[in-house]
Formats: sequence, structure tokens, C-alpha cells
Amino acid sequence: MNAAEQNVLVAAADSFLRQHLPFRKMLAEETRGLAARLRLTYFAKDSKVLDATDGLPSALFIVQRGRIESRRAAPGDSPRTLGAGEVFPINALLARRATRNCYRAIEDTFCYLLPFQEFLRCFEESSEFRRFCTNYLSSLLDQSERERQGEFAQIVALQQTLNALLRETMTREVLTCLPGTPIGTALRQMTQRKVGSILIVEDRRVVGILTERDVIARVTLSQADLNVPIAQFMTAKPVTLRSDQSAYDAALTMTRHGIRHVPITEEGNLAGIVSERDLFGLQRSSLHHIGRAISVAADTGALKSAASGIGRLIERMLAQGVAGEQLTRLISSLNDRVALRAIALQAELHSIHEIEFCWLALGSEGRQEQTLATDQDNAIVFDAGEKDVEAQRERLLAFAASVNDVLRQCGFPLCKGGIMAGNRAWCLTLREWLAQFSDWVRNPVPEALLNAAIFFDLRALDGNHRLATELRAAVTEMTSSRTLFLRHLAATAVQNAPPLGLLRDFVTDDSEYPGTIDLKAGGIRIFVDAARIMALSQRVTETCTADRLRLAGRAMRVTDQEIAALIEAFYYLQILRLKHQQLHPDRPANRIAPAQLNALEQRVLKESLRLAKTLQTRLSLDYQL
Amino acid sequence: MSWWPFGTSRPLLTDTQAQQLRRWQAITLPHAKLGLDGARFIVLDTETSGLDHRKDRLLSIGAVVVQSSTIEIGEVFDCVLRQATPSGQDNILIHGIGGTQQLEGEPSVPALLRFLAFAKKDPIVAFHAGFDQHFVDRALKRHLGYTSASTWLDLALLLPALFREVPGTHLDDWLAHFGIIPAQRHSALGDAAATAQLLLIALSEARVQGLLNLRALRKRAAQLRWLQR
Repeated sequence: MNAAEQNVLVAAADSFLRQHLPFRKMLAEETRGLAARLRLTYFAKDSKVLDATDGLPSALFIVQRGRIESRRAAPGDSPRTLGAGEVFPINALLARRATRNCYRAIEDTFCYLLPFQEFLRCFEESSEFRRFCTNYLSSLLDQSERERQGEFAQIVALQQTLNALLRETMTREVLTCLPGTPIGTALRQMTQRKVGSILIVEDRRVVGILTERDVIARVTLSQADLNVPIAQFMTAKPVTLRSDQSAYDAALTMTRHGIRHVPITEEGNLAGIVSERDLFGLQRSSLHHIGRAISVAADTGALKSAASGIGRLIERMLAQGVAGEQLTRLISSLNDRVALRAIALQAELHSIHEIEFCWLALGSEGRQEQTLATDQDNAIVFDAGEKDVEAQRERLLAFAASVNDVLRQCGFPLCKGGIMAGNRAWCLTLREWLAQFSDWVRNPVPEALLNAAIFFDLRALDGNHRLATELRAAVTEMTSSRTLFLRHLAATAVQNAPPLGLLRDFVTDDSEYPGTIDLKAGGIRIFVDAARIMALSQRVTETCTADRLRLAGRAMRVTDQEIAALIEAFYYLQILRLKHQQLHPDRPANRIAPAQLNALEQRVLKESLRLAKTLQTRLSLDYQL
Repeated sequence: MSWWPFGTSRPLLTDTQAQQLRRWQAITLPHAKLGLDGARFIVLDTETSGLDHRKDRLLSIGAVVVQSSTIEIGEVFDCVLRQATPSGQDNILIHGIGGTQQLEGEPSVPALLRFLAFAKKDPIVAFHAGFDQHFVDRALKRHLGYTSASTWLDLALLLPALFREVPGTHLDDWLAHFGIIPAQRHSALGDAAATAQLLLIALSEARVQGLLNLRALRKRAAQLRWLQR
């Protein structure tokens, strides 16, 4: 008898592996072979599982049941929880070094151990396992994204009472139907009841689920016959939780499986459903709520307190895994609302209604790419007509200075370079602006190039948008044909190389902030600058970096995949910075330490910076630098 | 032959089998003060034809190794012993070893030699160990002329001695308390594996309570037995 094949323990381990990634995707004989080499071990609640003092880990740990908390060695970092099926420490094993995390059992926990040598063998033999361990960009981004969500789920868990049991949180009224129900009937019911999901039930047991998202992919796009039973379209045997489990379990489950609805059972029978909306309900309503509170704020104090909710909201949004592009635009749109309200309140006090002016958002605000610690960048363009220009300017300056101050109180620091509407130099008439722009373009001295980078990303925020549109058009006219000016801009854009080393992965600073890299100068700004140059040369008037890359890139015959990769990399860096700012509001906003990222994040960061490098190479070639 | 103490006829072994037996005899007993992490535990469960100590027969042995507080899940012992007549219908329903399987099981001598080679003389752990020890030793005595020689440790005594607050008497109580789901309940190997998981928990707790070797564990288990009387 071949004990290893027959043994019920191996069979149980095998079937366990088959439920979890990456093993689920491996060949049956691969997991069977793997299962026979596993060992099972136990960690009592609160005992240490693994840390740096253990040296090179002796095995890959696979949580069989229970929960393990993983904490970075750096103090203040938020812990991450690993549940059944999750594996660690892949990075340390691959790098053949001690782990940098500290793993501790937070429940009585059983772990399967795959001895190091077996781990290496599996890595050699299974392409799926290898792919799981070292991945290419898109899936790296995806996984890293999930890790990010996991991390923030922790913070969110602390803030919301996710300890509540699901029987309290769940919705008891559930839309259900039988497997044989025609899909058309089911969809009608979903629409009538305005719910995002329907459960397919047989003898009170949940046999399937169909959600709005599934409908688009499986029904609408495939133009299915509406008389076909729903069973053909449903997700069979969906993940369920028991009503005595916590809302936190549900949050983790949703994050882990990337789903938004979880049916809840009691003694195996359907008892209710929990949706992402139920758990993060606060989130959506608070977006609405904060937006509204900002718009109706009656004075600076009220505006200030309404604006203070933005940071907390963003934190939850990060946890929920809102995509990078949406998230940065969302931040910008909320910041816009704060600025709009500040302008409206001050305009009333300064009675400037009869003046034709437009409040301009510049720099990252103009590009709708603000993060949390963004300085103000704004200006005013006005049209004095035949009236006294200077008198109007004085009134506008007084008004703008007070808006700048209100914004400062609401958490937007004053611009260190003085690029604010309250500054006489940046409160100009349309004609003055055109002269100024023209001067920069004709005399591209370093300061002019620096200003161009900020001002040429202008966007109308409030007032007469026509003035801003005319400015934009003028910028395009002046620059698109002026190769010499663009060449100067390109030279600036390639000045800072991404901090990638030949020998080491990252070239970190050892001067003021040892061990860190500047995410902005060495990464984000390269994308922004390159996109601006591309846009100006292609007469694209958009200001948002992603839009610029899409429109100008297409005109320049960059492939769609390449554009998509650039945009993804850009937002990856943005989110990384946002996350850093969120976790460490006290540290320099653009400085991150690659060593504190896990190997996965390090690889994605590297890939993103490599893409920044390709942009620089392209600029160098195009402008013969 | 004066060293043959049992009065019955001496078992007949082939040369190879006798050699296997001698190899086992030559193994030295691990030291009673061997630390818990260094020790190799054999966690065992048996299936029998019934609960009668005198009349019933040993049908099956399942065993798992616990070493350095881990279970090697690929290294297990599992055998069904060949029976001249199958056990009764009611009995078969408990362990699921069918009549044919019993008749076609492994002959006792090679199966038990295999067991000794697997167990060596390492401490044997079982839940209600006295019951398993009785049947295993009787079979060993009968077919090989020896008993197991190992130190036996009863988890049914050790667990309540370590976890005073847990009201558990049956294996199922303890499994339920610690949330252990047996891979296969009422098969010797499945139960041995579940018992081994209880041993992991017990060892972890023993370390916390400062019990560092087998002797200390046995003392603690015996204490409770005395207290309960």
C-alpha cells in the first residue's frame, strides 16, 4: 500500500489545498504530492509563530485554521491578519533571508508547514506556484492592491464596530428564487426590489447567487435568452458565513474573495444577506454627507469641520479598494467643493459679484491629482474691460487672500512658492496672463519652466469659465509648434532619474532621510511631466495625466497596452504615496522606505519606476536630448 | 526456554521476521527526561471487534508521529489485521471496516512487525490509552511474544489535568472544544490524527505550565487520576 496516497490526512490536506490559491490552480498531482510532504503544527492564542530571530524560515506556513497577525518590524505599522489558506513568508523564503515581519497567533491556530526544500522544489516544478510567487505587473498590482486593502481593513475595523455579529448587521429580507426560475423573471424582481443580488435557494439552502455585476458579464453581454433558468447564470455554491460570525469576518471575506455580497446562514439555512454596502454603508453615505456638509457650510468654522471628514473618508475608500484613478479624482472633487464653498463665502463678504473673473486651479489640483498633503496652487484671471484694472485687482486680491486663508484653515497649506490667487503676481487680466505665458515660452529659463509646469495645468474652478478656456487655448497655440520650448521642458523631465540601481533594487538617499526614495521626484513627477509634454505637442487640452497619456499617447501611436501600463503604474505610485501619507501623517509626504515594503510591493514599485524610465528614454529620443 | 514467560507456544517467525524483531529489540528506550521537543510521540488509535477486554479482537491500528510539535502527515501507520471471521454487523457499523476487508486484511505478524518498526520504543499516546494498550499489547504478545515496551500516555487523563476548566470526558468533547474536525471519525487513523492534534495543543499548554519532559507529563496525568478517586 502506498501510505502517502491512501492516508486520510494527506487526502484532507489535499482537499484543503484545493480550496485555496495558488494551490487551487495547480495540477491535481502537484497538490497531492505537496500534501504528502506537509506537516501540521499548532500555535496557541497569543504565542509567537515566526519572526526575524528565527533566521531563514524553515518552512512555508499555510494557515489551516485560526488567525495569525502579521506585523511589520517598524513601529506604528498596522498589522495584517492571515486566515485559513493564506501563506507566509513567501518573500523571506524566496530571498532566503529572515522574515521582516513578526507573526503571532491571535487565535488558537493550526498551520501546515511546507519545509523549505519542498517549497523550493514546488517553486521549481510548478509553474502555477512560481507564477504565484513571482508575478508579472498586472497581477502584482492586483495582489498588492489586495494587500493594501487588507491593511486598511484593519484600520477601518478599529473605527467601525465591525465586531457586531452578522445576525445584527445582516438584512433579513432577501430576494430569493428557485434554480428553475427564468432569468428574465429574476432580473425583473431585482429591478423592482432595487437590490443588487438574488439568492437561488432550494430547501432553504443557498445553492447560488447572482449579482448585478454577474448580470452584465453573463447575461447582458452574452445576450442570453431570458427564458433560460437562472441556474445557468448563477455563481454556484457561493461563500457563506454564519450569523454568529462578525461583521469583521464578512469584511475580510469580501476583501479576500473580491465579492460584495455574502449570504448568511443559521444552521445551514438561509437567514439573511450582508452586502458591502451594509458594512461600509457609512462610507457611501459619508461621501454624500461630507459633500453636502461642505456645500452648505455657513462659515469658515463649519467648512473646516466638514473638510476634516475628507481624510477619514479617504481612509475608508482605500480600505474598500476604490481604484487609484477614481480615488485621486474623488479627493480632488471633494477638495474642489471645499474651495468652491470658500470662494462662495468670501465672495459674499467681499461683494465682487460684478467683476468678471475666473478662479483657476493649478498644478496637481488643476490635474485633479491631489493627495492629502497638497499645498494650494491657485490663481485668478479677470477681465476688467474698460474699467479701472488696478481697482478691480485690489478688490480681487483682498478677496483671494481671505480665500487662501480659509483654505489654509481647512487643511490646505499655503503654497511655499507663493503661487496663490492672493499674490499680486498671479492675479492678472487675460491680456497680462497671455503676455506672461508668452514670456515663459520665449525665454525658457529654469524659473519659467518651473512655472510653466504649474500654470499650464490650469483648470477653471469657479467664476467665468470662458476666461480659463481662452487661456488654455492660448497655451496650446503658443507651445504646440514651439519645439525648442518643449525640448526645454523635456530636458527638465529627464533630470531626475528614477531611483533604480544597477546592483541594488533601489538607490536610496543617505543624506537627510536615510533609506528612503522620493516617490514624487523620482516617479510621479516623471509621468506628469512627460504627459504634459506629450499633451502640449499633440494639442491635447486635458490636464489630467491619465487623460493626457490616453489622448496624446494614442495620437503618438503608443499601443493601448503600453498606455494602460503607464497609467496603472502612475496610479500605483499615487496610491502608494497616499497610503504612506495616510499611515504616517508626521513623516515627509513623498519619502517612502522601500525596505519597509514587502517584496511584492517592492517588485511593483520597481516595475512602475522602470516604466517612468522608459518615458524618459522616449522623451530623450524624441527631443534628441 | 526460561525467558519465554507466557506459557503458550512460542510464535513461529521466519528468519527475516525474527531479524526484524531483533532489530526492534535492540532499540533503546528514550530517556524519561527527554525534552518534549526532542521526543518522538506515536499517537495511536485502534478499532476492535467490541469493548470486551477478554473476548474481543484487535481489528485495526492507526498511528501518527508527532515530533518537534509537528505532525508529519505523510508519515503514518495504518493497518487492518486479517481476521478468521468478521466482527458483527453492529460493530462494523461503528468503524466501517467491512467483512471482506477484515478477511482480506494484513496477516498479524508482518503487520505488527511493521507497527513496531514504525513505533520503535517511542512513547505512545492515545485517548483512553489503557484500552488501546490492552489490545495492542495482547496482539503483540500473542503473535510476537513481546509487549510494546513504550511508555504509554493517556490524553484522557492529561487533557483534564492541563485544562482544568474544560468539562471534557469524551474524545468528541475535546475535539469540539478545540474545534478540531477529524478527517475521518471512527477510523483508527482518522481518530489518531485528531488525537494527535489534541496532543499538539496539550504539548503547547504543557510548555506554558512548565512541564518539560515525558516524566513530568505522566506525573501530571497521574495526579489527576489520583485526585478523581
